[in-house]
Amino acid sequence: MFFVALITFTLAHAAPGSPFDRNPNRPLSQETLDRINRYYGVDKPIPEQFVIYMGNLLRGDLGLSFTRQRPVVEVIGQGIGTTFQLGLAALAFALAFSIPLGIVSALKQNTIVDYLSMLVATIGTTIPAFVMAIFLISIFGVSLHLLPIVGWGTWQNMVMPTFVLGLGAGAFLTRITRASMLEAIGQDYIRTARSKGLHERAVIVRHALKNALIPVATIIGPATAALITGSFIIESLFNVPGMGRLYVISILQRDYPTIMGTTLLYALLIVIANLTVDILYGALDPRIKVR
Amino acid sequence: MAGQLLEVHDLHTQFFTRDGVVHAVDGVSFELAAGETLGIVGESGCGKSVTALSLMRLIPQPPGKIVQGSIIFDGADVLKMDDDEVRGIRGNNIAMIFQDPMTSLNPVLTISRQITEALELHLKMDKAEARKRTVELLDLVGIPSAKKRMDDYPHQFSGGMRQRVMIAMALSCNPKLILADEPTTALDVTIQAQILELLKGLAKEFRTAFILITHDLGVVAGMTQRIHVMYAGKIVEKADTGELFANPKMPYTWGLLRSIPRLDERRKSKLLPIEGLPPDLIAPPPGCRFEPRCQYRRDICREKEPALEHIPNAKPDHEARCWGTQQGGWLVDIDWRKEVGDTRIIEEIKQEVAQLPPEPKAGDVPPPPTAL
Amino acid sequence: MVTAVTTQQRRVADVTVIARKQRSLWRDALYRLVRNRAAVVGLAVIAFAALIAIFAPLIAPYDPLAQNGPKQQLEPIWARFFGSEYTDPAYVFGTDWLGRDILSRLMYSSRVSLVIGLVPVTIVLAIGLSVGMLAGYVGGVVDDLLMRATDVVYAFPDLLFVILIVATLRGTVLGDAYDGLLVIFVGIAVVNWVGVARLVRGQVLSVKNRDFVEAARAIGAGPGRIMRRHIFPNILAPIIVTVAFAIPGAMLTESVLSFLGIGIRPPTPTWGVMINEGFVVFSTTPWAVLLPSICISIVLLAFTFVGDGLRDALDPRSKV
Repeated sequence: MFFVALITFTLAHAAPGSPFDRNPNRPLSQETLDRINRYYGVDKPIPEQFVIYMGNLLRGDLGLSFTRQRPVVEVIGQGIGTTFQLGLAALAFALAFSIPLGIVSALKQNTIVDYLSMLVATIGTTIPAFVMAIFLISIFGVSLHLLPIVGWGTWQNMVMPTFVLGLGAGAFLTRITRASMLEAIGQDYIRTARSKGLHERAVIVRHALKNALIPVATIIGPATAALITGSFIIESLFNVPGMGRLYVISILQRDYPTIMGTTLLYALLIVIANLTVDILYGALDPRIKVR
Repeated sequence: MAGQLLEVHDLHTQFFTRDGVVHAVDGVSFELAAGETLGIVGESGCGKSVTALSLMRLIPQPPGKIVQGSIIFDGADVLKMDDDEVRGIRGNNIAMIFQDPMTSLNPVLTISRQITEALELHLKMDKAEARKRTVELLDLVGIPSAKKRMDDYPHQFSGGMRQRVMIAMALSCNPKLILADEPTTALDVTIQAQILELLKGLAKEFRTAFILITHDLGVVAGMTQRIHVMYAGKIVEKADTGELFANPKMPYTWGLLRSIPRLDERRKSKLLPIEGLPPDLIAPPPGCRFEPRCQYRRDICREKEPALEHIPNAKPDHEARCWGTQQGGWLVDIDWRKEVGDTRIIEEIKQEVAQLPPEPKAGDVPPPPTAL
Repeated sequence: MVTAVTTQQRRVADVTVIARKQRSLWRDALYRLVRNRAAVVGLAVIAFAALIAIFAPLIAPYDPLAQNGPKQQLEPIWARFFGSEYTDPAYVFGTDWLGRDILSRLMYSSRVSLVIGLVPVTIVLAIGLSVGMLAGYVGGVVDDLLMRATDVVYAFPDLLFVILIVATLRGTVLGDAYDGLLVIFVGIAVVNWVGVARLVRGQVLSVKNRDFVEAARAIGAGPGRIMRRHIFPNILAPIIVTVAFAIPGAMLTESVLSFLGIGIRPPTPTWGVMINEGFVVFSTTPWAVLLPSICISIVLLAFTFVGDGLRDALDPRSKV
């Protein structure tokens, strides 16, 4: 985390220009600039700024947004709920279709069902989210006028972003589920289970599924992180007032404190996700003991 | 012999791969009486395991399929049963012990769960009964403090202990027949002996028939009453165990015997490996399947396939699939211990193996998957 | 004599039966790849797109930047079938809101994608291979540094890190070079080289203590020779697969950046830029957005098919 902060900070400060010299038609006077710089603490030497920033960070203070004249924490706080809402909805959608699809296509390996679901999964993982979004918008938003194209707040607003965001993750999970299910049903212990005369359903549910879902479950952590950090494209596109759109806007406006804050938060999410994987592994697989 | 427990007749199991049909089991017939013990011996890939799996209809399908034959178990043809009936037999009347105890137990289920599920299913026991019986079974197979350990996971057991668990699992529903597929191959030599002793003792105690499948003639020696030698999907020699070791007939069996190290041999005989590899079961040789590797071969061996027939100077139920040992054959009177065969042919085979083109042209079929 | 000949021939046939046929990994892999229909189609699509990219200046009907004032927002030719009057056979795919020919822009866009697919991946491969092999074979400081770098890069979401780098460098000489192309190279390279280096390192570690490497060392081969002749060929397969997926990954990164408005500078046409520009007027000229979207989708799918095919061919065990 420290390195992330250091790198983001360095990058942010190595960048030329600031949000205040953007308007060449109405150049600010040197005096005003100095005052602004002092206000945001950017007149001090960069190492000192970093120390101050880190100190503030430990107290939960991410500084002031350059463009919004409000603390970054507050700005991010407004968007984070929306982003989580979208991310979790997308996750739920992804899980709901991916795991059954992956299992079915593994059980019906090399049949039409399998080929079709793998085709869907390949398309889902390959077509970029924003392109998929464009296709959806043109069908449901523009041609059929079924769903609102942009905005946030009603359930109709949520449908397309959730679908697009969840499709990519779900397609990936489908492939994982299928692969680990295939691996599980090829194992010797499945043959053992069959040799005991168990019903095929018991063989699949009790013996195969339990093993197959371990890798799937552990990937849900990173998948959630990916959904939340990856929603910036979707948020920008559908104009969803979340953290991702905030990030993109901050970048376009060079609002460095906000960029830093958001990046740090994203990095934190990834760290948490990776930790969850370790813990989940320990909980699910009896072979691994939690240290 | 009336009232056979198991009669296998002309069993053909094939695997349909992209590169062709693999004739893994190609016309195997044998019988087994209740309580009788039989060893099936052969190199890896010769169809032993596929035979065993076919008996329980456990051949993965596709790509595998039992295309022909009958398996009469206890008066009913297993191949004509519907899935429910087959499941009623599996684990209940026929149980199987697999080769690798490391992978044959489910790593995420406790030992007790894996044993009780069969008890609950076939013997309709309730949970408590099943657990009680599990403790008994684990005691029986020599697992110390069974009560305490039954709720452990497989990875907490050693290889030998896991194989004991597998045996307990196989015995759980008092089956009439146990199929043991290389039950000791994955284990240390010392553990091997213990497991074999256990298996033998328990089978005797419960009067269970068992078929022991192995590539090691040494393993079956003291274990089974009869031995069938398999090569390339076919049975090539059948005899009582004593007869087979005293008076083996088929050159392939000789090869197997020569490759067992023996301590009790008077003169120093060399260990002689069988040159070459078993044939491709997609396109097996048209004549005797062992002919390409046989040091006693004659032209007839290449041209026509011999049948499994009685041998003139052997016990009546001793049969072999070899032109040389049949009536008037050139191997009838040979003493395999003294004559190694035509050494020139051995050299010829070695050279041929060495001269093989290192890499066939593109478009040739890739090596077939070794069947199970 | 005749029989002798036939016996001889038969003998040869029998002998090939004795020893199972073996073939080299590469030939076997090629064989499997060619049998994979999706991969073959993918390769064909890629070849087609590459040809268009290379010959775009020759085959494009118009200058992709030329604005044709009176002929703005022409609908594609097939709109005729739906009763549209506002088409022009000279502009098969129609024109955008500035009257630029969409077909020409699409063709020129593929050039950027081609370059984006090749250059950064080459850089990534060069750095990743050398650092990874050094770290794996020699270990020591290089290895430690690599691990630290990995920790850092892995802590960022990939795409966000690229965005951060690209956004930061915007406005500098580097950032503006070649309409922003250079900085995208840098961004992709910085983020992706560690992954390759890690992969190579792991592979080298698993290969370097195998017997044939020991044997090579025993007969006095130097480290350079061992790495080139013995280790490299053995780690090639996973690297090829990685590259096959890295190329569309880089293209995707470019299009996302351009779409967000921080990638290639307009008016230079790329599919991402075209989508970004067209999106503003989506409801009036949907084809200006949909056509580049379809192009991206097809090319990325083609690469995925080839990548999947390669992975299946080179590593038949993995199924993800």
